[in-house]
Amino acid sequence: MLHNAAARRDTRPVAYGRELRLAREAAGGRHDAVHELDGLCDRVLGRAARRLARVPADADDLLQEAKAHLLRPAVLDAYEGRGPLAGFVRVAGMRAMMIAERSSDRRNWRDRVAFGLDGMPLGSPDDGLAAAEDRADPALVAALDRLPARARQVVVAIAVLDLSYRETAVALGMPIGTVSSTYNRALASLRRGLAEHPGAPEEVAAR
Amino acid sequence: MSEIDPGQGLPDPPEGHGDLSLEGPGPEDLREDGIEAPAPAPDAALGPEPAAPAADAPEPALSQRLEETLSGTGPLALPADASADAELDAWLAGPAPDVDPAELHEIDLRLRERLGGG
Repeated sequence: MLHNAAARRDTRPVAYGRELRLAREAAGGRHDAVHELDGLCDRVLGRAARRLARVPADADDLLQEAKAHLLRPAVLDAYEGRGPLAGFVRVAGMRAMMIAERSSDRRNWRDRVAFGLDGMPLGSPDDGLAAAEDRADPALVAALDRLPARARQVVVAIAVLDLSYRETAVALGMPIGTVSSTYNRALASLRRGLAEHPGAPEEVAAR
Repeated sequence: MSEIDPGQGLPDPPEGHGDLSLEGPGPEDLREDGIEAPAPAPDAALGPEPAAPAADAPEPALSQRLEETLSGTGPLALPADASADAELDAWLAGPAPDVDPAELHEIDLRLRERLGGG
């Protein structure tokens, strides 16, 4: 999957200079830049964290832990300013949430203040989820929760974060064919949950 | 985990959902996230409108640096999860629901709307 990276070397111009500076300043520990990036992570990743976790408190832990992975200089330095910073956050953030989800020593952010670079306190752990207005209906959420964990991750990456199959494959460390198979199978499995939505204008699954 | 032939079903989503670039979807995607910005600026809070790419700009490609960061043993190396992979393989090996590809496409659109908040 990754062996053609050199052949596809990105030659696009650095069109997002302001966002590149922001990332560099955050990597350098500038507080206002870190805060701005922290808010961007909340907006971009909050809803995905809610869908990956089964209860809100776990989603909060997941989001905070992911930000601890994401807002590191070694990670932020990978942003080159050739695309929107939010796009970088979507892909790298999805990976960061996967790492957090698999961490056996996941910290409990509910009981502590989140600290960023230089020990600076970040936003309250509830900020991210408050920003992620949750309009998903219970039937759909229940159907999503019945999927295998890896399938739920694929659905979140594609349907919530709007990643392409290729971006999803890279973020989740899966072959792209498996991403495609998994998403198609998940769609079929979720159709009942979608049809049970009380506000559904049409009953897709009833056809 | 073995790669599985996707067989029939949805093609890779049209680029523009997230575009080919790992560094990001377009301004429309950002607005869906609630980030207010005049097109094509991605985020007013993040600065002025970016310079427009050259008309002959190459097709967006995967950011090599991000790709390298997400592979191998870098700062975002992914811990193995064999049990989750096995669970997925077993699920995919099971009988597939009989759903028409056109219906899958409608489900895809509806799912994105419901979960993505678009």
